[in-house]
Amino acid sequence: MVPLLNLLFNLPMRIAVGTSLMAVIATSAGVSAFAPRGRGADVGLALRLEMFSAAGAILGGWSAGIFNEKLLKILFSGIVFLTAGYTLFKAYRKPQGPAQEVLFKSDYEPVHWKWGFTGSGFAGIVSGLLGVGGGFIKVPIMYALMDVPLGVATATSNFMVGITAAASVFVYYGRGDLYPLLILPTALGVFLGAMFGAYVLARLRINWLRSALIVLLVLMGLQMLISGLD
Amino acid sequence: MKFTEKVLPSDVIQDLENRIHTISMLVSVVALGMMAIGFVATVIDTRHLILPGTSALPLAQMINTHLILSGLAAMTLGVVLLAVLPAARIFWAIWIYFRARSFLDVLVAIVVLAELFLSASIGQ
Repeated sequence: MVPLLNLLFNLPMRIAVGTSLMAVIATSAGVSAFAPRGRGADVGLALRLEMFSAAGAILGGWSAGIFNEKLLKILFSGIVFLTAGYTLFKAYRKPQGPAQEVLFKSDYEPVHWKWGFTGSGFAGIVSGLLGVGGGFIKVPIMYALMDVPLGVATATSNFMVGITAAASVFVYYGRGDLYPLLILPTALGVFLGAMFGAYVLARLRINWLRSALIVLLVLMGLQMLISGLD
Repeated sequence: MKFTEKVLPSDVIQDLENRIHTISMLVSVVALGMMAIGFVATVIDTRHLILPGTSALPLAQMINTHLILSGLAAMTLGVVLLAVLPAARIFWAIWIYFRARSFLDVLVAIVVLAELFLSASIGQ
């Protein structure tokens, strides 16, 4: 959304980021509001992971400028490609086969918490350093590493990015970078989109959602790689 | 009790999910409604709009009585209301966990809330 607002509508970067942060909060609110009963975020899991993610974001924001941003982007793209590859590998490694996997269930027990905490902390650092949302890192961490069902991981990640965005948005508000006339159509649009997404998610097949996640990861990795090599 | 262990009864988890669902819906609708009302009031008031318009008003300025009724004030209130929703959801979670006597979850939620405020204050 930031490149769209910045390049297409010629808005200054700070206003574009402020508007985009409000859009993230509206999306998080919309998904929570419209998710069918029993298909919402795992709040306990979200808060535990967010502890590390928020700490990482603070550390990342504080250390921005110390690290070489281009090198970080190349490193980050490598990690995103590895995650996409592992997600694909995991889908076909499951003993029961990918067809029997479900998007949502309540009787699961997350595993590999240390990996989850480490990955969430890393996602936070990347968010703080590069100003990107960490959702596309958090979903594969929960799904591929922690054995959280993909639908639950998506809803939980959405809950988490709302908190991360809220931590930054008041900085933009204090600086006078929030423009209600821009926020209204953006928030309304993503809110309606989230409503439609929640409706579609309940009817999606796991294979489609997993494929979309892998495609998104590859595109994000490519974008980071190109940006890092530029 | 292990830090990563699920100990909450399913009815408490369901209650938390229901309340987060309700508060998200309520706050979103009210916030968007206020922004929409403010937008209409601004259009009526100014008769022409140039994007990006005026930035959201500081909260201190909103206390000024004649601004309370203005379109920009209503839009700003909607924006602020939406922005505090994630923190409000954590407050609700703390309350539900506290009632369920799940003090480890209360502690985790308080740490996240503290990090949220710390992050916002560092950025100021």
